[in-house]
Amino acid sequence: MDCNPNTTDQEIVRLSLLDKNNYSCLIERYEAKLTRYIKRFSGLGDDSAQDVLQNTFIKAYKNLNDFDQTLKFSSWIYSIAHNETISHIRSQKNHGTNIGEFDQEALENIASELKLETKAEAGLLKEKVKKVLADLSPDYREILILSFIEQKDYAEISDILSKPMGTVASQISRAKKQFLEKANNLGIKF
Amino acid sequence: MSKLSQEVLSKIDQENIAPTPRWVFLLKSWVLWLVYILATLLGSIAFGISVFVLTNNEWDIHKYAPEGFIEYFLLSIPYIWLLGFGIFVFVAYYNFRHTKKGYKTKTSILVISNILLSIILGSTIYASGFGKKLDQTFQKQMPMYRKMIDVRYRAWVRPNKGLLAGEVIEIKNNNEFSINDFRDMKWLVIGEGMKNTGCSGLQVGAKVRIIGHPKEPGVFIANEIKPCACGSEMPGGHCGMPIPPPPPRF
Repeated sequence: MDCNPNTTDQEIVRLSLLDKNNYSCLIERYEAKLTRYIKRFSGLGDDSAQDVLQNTFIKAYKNLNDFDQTLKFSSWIYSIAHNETISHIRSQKNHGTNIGEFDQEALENIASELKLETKAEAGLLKEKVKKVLADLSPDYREILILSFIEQKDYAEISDILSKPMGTVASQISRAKKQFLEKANNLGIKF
Repeated sequence: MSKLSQEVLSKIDQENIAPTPRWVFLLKSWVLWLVYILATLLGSIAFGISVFVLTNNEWDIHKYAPEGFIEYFLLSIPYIWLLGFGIFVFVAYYNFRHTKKGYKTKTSILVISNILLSIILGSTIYASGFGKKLDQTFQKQMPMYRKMIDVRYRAWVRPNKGLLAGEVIEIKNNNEFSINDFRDMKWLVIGEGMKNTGCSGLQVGAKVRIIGHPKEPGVFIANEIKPCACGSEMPGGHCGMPIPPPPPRF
């Protein structure tokens, strides 16, 4: 299928139900985003992240008829990726330690949201932010990544994590607090 | 086509994976909502019966009960129904939470609103007399309900605490008669110096409440005898039944 960038996700879902080959457009549209998301929040290595990603797309395909057209497809597929990653981590009984790479924009977002001084050289700041994020509890790390790096709004995060919006707001607030405390404990000054 | 796309599509082909039909998801959703509605209704019924049992409890018993009012009050609480109420609220909460958009509502709001809904429906059930009907049906149809669950039986069949209730099975003479208590144990009741309060007579088959003390196994010395449950819902109460002449005098 020729994947037209103007075709909506909802439309591709409908077409995928008619012909499975159309599903490749959705895979290609979300492959890179979901890989980054899975690796950042789980710390899984490339191979494990690829396994989780493949399972995510297979599961999404099986459940295409359950996709709620009133939601964003991205929230739905992120939610499946979240659940698959959690299942994978539970089955392996450990988190990875490599939380992946951050591009400059992601770094600037998180520095700005957490009101970090950005005088430090970009490379050094990136290492500091990564070090603190890696030390955060997985729940808090994930919610900061969704909010500040993936740039999801409260409603989308609520749909991805299956939590009420109020809970999302208070978790973000607690995660920000924990980030600054961890930075302090690790002796990291921004 | 990316490598991942090829892998995924190839797996879909090899394993004959197909999207689950839409009706399966609809059915699952309907079942969740149905169980939610049923659990809320059952919780309301449990609440309605609890209110009925509490408001129709024989609160005057505490005057005779050896323990204080608080202990009697604790004894009178219809725990089974309240436990049922709690379980149904939880089941309703669990099912609502697993509906498609159930996660959007806060747990506290969900639980409180379901409790309030059950209380409102339960109060309606109580006010409509349906709670009374159900309580009476359970008493008639389920002997276990009478013996194990009904607080009125628990309160009155406590010979060691000086309280006994049952059905008169034999009148021996002016001072003695036999009863089967509500747990089917036979007692000889000796009524020396007994005062007969509010009950002008006894007959075989009448239900009575007796205040006194056990003398030995199967023998109960009565200080006071009362008819069962005038004005209340104690099962078998003979209010409204003709009082039989001639009464044996105690």
